[in-house]
Amino acid sequence: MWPMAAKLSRRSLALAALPFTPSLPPAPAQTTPAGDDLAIQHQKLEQWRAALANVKLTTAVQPAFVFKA
Amino acid sequence: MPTFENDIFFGSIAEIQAGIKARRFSCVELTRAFCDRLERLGPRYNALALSLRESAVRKAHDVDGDFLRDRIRSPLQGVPYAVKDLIAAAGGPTTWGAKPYAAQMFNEDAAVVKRLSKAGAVLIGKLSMVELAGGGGYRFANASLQGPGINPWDRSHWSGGSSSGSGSAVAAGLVPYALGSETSGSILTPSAYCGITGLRPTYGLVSRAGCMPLSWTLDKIGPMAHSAEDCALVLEAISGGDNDDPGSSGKRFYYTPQFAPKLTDLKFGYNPSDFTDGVVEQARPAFSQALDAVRSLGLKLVEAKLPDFPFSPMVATIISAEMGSVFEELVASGKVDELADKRQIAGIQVSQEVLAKDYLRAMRIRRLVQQEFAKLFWDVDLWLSPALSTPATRLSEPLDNPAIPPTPIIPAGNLAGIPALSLPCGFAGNLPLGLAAAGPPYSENRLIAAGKAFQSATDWHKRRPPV
Repeated sequence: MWPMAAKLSRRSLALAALPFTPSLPPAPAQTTPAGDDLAIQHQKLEQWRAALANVKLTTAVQPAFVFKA
Repeated sequence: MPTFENDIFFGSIAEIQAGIKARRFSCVELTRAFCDRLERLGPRYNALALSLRESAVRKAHDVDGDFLRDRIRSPLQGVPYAVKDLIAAAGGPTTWGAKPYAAQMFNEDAAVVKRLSKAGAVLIGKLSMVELAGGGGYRFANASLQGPGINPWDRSHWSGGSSSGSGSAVAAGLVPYALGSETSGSILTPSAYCGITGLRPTYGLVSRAGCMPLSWTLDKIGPMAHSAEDCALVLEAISGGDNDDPGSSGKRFYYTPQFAPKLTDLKFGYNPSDFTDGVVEQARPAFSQALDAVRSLGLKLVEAKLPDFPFSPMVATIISAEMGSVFEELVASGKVDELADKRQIAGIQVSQEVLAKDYLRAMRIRRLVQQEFAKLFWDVDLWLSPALSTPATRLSEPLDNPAIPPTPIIPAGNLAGIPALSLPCGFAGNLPLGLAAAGPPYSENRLIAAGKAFQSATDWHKRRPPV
């Protein structure tokens, strides 16, 4: 049953979200241990840092955002 | 009560409004018909987050009154639409596609919803999305409160993200147009995967007030529709300065087809290898035909290259740093663990550790990217490339498949803040492909003119999935 605007409460919405099942079987169960996902994300951070370090920057280059008073 | 032919559900904005003006149907009848269709077929594609039938019918009554009194407000008047569920609409939940926010309510409409309401458009629903717009780097298509976005062209494939519901709802004719958002690829990806036309506007052209922030310096709101012209009509209504969005440029888009440049005078830059080595083998024939179609219009194609920067690491660092601040509370409260995708949870947790010096370095290199793109657009007027290197991935496939060639125009164009248009350009098997056109900042009229010309010579945008 899809929620309709007239019958909504915060509680019913929160409860509705709990048993939510999509109309098709989703992707296979994510069996990777959480620790592995954290390690992968940490590794990505290092890879990004290394890639950025390869770009030469002069001290004159300012970041691409501007603060306006 | 008129009977609605399938045609009207796939009609252009102008055709739909013409039907109301000619009294073939009222706005209330049209709204009810679209609500019925969205509620009936939306769940089939996991596209519907929330139906707004009651408020939509009330608005439609008002619009019918306006038409009766010949009060014509805009080309969108009376035409139903829906928005990605990170755009606030008062009176209903705005879930951001994520369980921790399933009960979140806002008292005020987002700026874009207010602008469309003023234009007489009728909001009929909220559309599903990847949780928190996928900023944490999700691994599977089911990273969403509403389940994986299902592609109307083949239900075993993904509709793309993060504006998943907007892509499939427009493709399946559940709404004539929808709003999506893009931080890095979230309009262009579902538009290409679902075979619709999506326009990512210049950064700052459309207010994001009332929308979920993921990355303040990258987020854009834009239209997803059946044609380039429909995107232009929607952009004209939603663009404009807004003091409530510090990123607003204060500029507005006026759709001026009467002043469109002569396309044969323009130079279109492209890198031929993007259309061969840069895409998977089964997509090459369609992309080759798309280039032939461009040439057949008499357009000048000039070989060129995008500037060489680590676009993906840059955009990932910037999103991670800004998102880390946006969702600091979510991580601190532990509610981040309620998200559906484990990789995404880890990504948001790790975002708390991005160093300021890395973020600033990425933002300084971004300045160079902007300068190099400015130089590129001295030589060419528009840039063409495949929107994505593959057709839609399978729902069961992990999204971090290293065999998929990267598409640099998506992170590069978002870093530079430039506009881009995704145009349906053929099929690989039964799945659609998208051709991307990008231009310098505020060149939306030029992009739309090129898109209209391409769509006048092809009929890919008129193909319909087997709904």
